[in-house]
Amino acid sequence: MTPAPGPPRHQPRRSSLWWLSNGRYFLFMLRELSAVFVALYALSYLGGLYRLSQGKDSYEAYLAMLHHPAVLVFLGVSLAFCLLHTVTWIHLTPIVMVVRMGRKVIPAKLVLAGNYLVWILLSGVLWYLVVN
Amino acid sequence: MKTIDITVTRYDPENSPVPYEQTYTIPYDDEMVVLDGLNYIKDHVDGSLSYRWSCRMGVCGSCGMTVNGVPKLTCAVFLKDYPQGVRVGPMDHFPVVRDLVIEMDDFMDKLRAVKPWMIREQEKPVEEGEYLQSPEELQLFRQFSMCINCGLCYAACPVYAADKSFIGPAAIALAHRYDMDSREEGQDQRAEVIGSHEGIWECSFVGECSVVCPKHVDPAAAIQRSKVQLTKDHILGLLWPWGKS
Repeated sequence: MTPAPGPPRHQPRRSSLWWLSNGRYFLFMLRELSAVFVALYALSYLGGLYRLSQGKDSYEAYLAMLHHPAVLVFLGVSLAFCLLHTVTWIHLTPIVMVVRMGRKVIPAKLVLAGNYLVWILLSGVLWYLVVN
Repeated sequence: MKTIDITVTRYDPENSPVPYEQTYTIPYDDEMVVLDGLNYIKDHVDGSLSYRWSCRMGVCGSCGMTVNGVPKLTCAVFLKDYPQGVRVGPMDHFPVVRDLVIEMDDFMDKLRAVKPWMIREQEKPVEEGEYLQSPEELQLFRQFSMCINCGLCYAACPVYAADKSFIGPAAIALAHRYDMDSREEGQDQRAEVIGSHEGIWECSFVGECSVVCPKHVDPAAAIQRSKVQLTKDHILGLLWPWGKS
């Protein structure tokens, strides 16, 4: 766009710390960062599966490594970020999805509740499979 | 009478190449909004203060400014809610012309770019009557038609701050308003604009545009729903290249 004629315009510069200026921006940055920890945990899990394919000794060494304090901290932080990732995206779903039944639009709260229900059910099934 | 400090960002390119702040202490009562405070300054203290305003009732969208760091319509926020004093600056992310007056040309160009008018492939003759629309069909887009083009969503959008080529929240919400209209047939023309690199795919769903909107429009929803719709259209186009029936 060609600049409009007239006196000079002041072009304000944005601070590189803009994301600290309000809590919602900060939460957005955490939400974006959470994807990194979801990916790192997925990689560590794949690593565990690989070690399992290498035999009993290899897998037991992997399990022992999981008890290292640094790994426990990583797993704790990853769990927190995975929960943040899941909860924030579940809460964004009703904004994105407009679910219709006939001519009526399903209220956002019902879509949200449905998402939570599916999450809890899937987690329950996985828990059952892991425990048994 | 109570008094309050209003700190205003001043920009006077003839005398100072950079903006500076000026604080005014003025009397106020509980009925006064921030805009009333600015009007008091201009009428009684400093006539050189420049800012835009018109309707004083949250309809025209002229008086958008940054109030204590948040984009607000100054006619819709009360001085009594800022007992510690209030800082008023021009809306973020726009070039500043003078004091609190920003240049909105880029915003207006973007609104025009999405073709915010009814597009029909074939106009029906007048004698065939109106284009009828049910209340349910109206509800699909009604909230997106409430936009008053104040630009607060652009001032709140970190994506627009980083990349001025981004079409932005209000323009995409306006495109969505027309795309969702049952009488409308111009979706493909708008898809060329909002589906471009500068359109919906720039948005990372911060959601602040919807938070600051004074008319409770949800531009973030419009953008994400447009992403879903355009993706579906793209996939359907791949599966069914012969086009719509």
